[in-house]
Amino acid sequence: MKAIATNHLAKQYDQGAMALADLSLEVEEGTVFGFLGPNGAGKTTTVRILNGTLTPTSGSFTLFSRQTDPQDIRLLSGTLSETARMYEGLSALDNLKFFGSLYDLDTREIEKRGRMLLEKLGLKGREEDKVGTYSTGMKKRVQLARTLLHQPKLLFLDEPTSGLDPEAAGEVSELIRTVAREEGTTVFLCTHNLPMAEKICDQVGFLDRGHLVAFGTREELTARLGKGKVLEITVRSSEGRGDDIIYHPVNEESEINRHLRAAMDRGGIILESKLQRPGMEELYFSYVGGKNEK
Amino acid sequence: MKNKRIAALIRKDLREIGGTKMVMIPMIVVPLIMALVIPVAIILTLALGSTDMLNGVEQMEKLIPVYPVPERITELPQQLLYIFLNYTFLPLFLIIPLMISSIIAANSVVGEKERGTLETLLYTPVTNREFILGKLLGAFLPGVLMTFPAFLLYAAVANGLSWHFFGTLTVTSPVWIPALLLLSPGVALLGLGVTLLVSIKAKTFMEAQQVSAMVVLPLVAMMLAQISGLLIFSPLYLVIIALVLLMGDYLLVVKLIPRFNREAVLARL
Repeated sequence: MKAIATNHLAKQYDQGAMALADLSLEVEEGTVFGFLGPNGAGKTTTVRILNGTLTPTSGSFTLFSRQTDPQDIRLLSGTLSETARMYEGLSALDNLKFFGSLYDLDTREIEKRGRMLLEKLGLKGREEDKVGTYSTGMKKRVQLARTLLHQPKLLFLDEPTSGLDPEAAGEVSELIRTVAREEGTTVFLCTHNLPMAEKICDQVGFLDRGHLVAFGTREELTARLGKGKVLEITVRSSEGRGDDIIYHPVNEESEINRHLRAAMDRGGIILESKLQRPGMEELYFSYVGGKNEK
Repeated sequence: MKNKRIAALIRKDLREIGGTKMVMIPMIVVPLIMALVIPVAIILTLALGSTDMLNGVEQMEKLIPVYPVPERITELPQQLLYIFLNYTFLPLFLIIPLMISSIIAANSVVGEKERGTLETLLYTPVTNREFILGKLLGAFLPGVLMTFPAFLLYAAVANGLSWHFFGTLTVTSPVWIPALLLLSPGVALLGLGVTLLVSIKAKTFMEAQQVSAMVVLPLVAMMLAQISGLLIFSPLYLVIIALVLLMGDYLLVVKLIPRFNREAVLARL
């Protein structure tokens, strides 16, 4: 089943700015969908339309194959945005008890699930401390616990790893993937963290100035670009110019030796060579624009 | 509409009030000043000084027959005391719930915007009606509930001191019954409704508080009317005003709820 299906969705704000133009995409249930794009591309606008907060100017969308009332959307989904905060004068657990009650959860259920989530997110022992005493990363993790508390069918996550150290970011990424796989939650993830997107997203969409410029799995996007594997050779120049990195597209493995021999013939010392397919960063910059190393 | 969600919003707001100095200080200081300082100052001036020490006493003397002063109070100082404590300062006990409720309401909506928690709330299943009612009741209850202990303290101090110095009780007018039970909640709700309307659009707590402070002006006018003898509010008069006000409050709340537009509020964040 399609968890999300948008049909020519567009949004123009009162001031005239066209935030989103003709967005049509589909997200399978139980998958992690990465929505990538520069600041101001329209990602947050898309999330706010899909989570029932904003009304689209034109177009339509369905969630789980149904036209859903905004109130029902808020019951079945959870949203974590960059700017939304928790109550810093309350403890993490008290915050979860408050928000849990807004989702009509039973008090005992909130306490049990809340403590479990806080432990999974590395906050065991700090549940009773006020959120105002937490670090940025800890606050982000409490926010994530809040969005997962009512076991939503659909999660909207906007930069869930911003402010987290690499270890915590990795744990959060893993938790997101686990939630999708084990609980069947569909995750709509907006992020600038391309390595995370590469690691956990089943499909990605690239948004640029309100337009969806690419959409699909990593393999589909790579094939559409006509990009296959790439041989990366790090060469130290014999003339003392330092190290260069050279990229060669490779269609067959027999081409590898030819490229390596050519690099050596130019008088360089090969320090490292590796065969790789385009990473998320390369795909992103290929579709959205910006620097693209050759 | 889920009462459980409204109750959760009210409980959360009341907990937050306890930790906010900008709200707690006026909530405690203002009623204390009204309840203690005013009766003590007036009674001691009349008991230890003379009536000449009070400004405008000659005009007040001429107005004594206009006020429903009990026949048992015959001496001038006690008559003046009765008028001051039951009529002149009665509007102050309408200002207490109005001011407290408005400050709480301004802090609770604009404060949510400033702290970034309003966006989090808007993403939950709380409906517009539940949000408005939660904010209204979360501000209304502390304001109105603070008024009763403030009045009891006022009456106890005033009556205690006037008994000590003049051998008579002074805060005994039946006008307090409709004033505290009907008019005070009615005025508080009016102020709250206006404050919430302003808070939805205001960006900062100071902005919301400054605009909502203007709601006090009609009460100041009421006080001046009572001082000048232009209007003496009898219990029946207060009941009528209160009922009209409560009907107006109901219409205001009904109008307020649809004005809370999530999309417009988010766009202003």
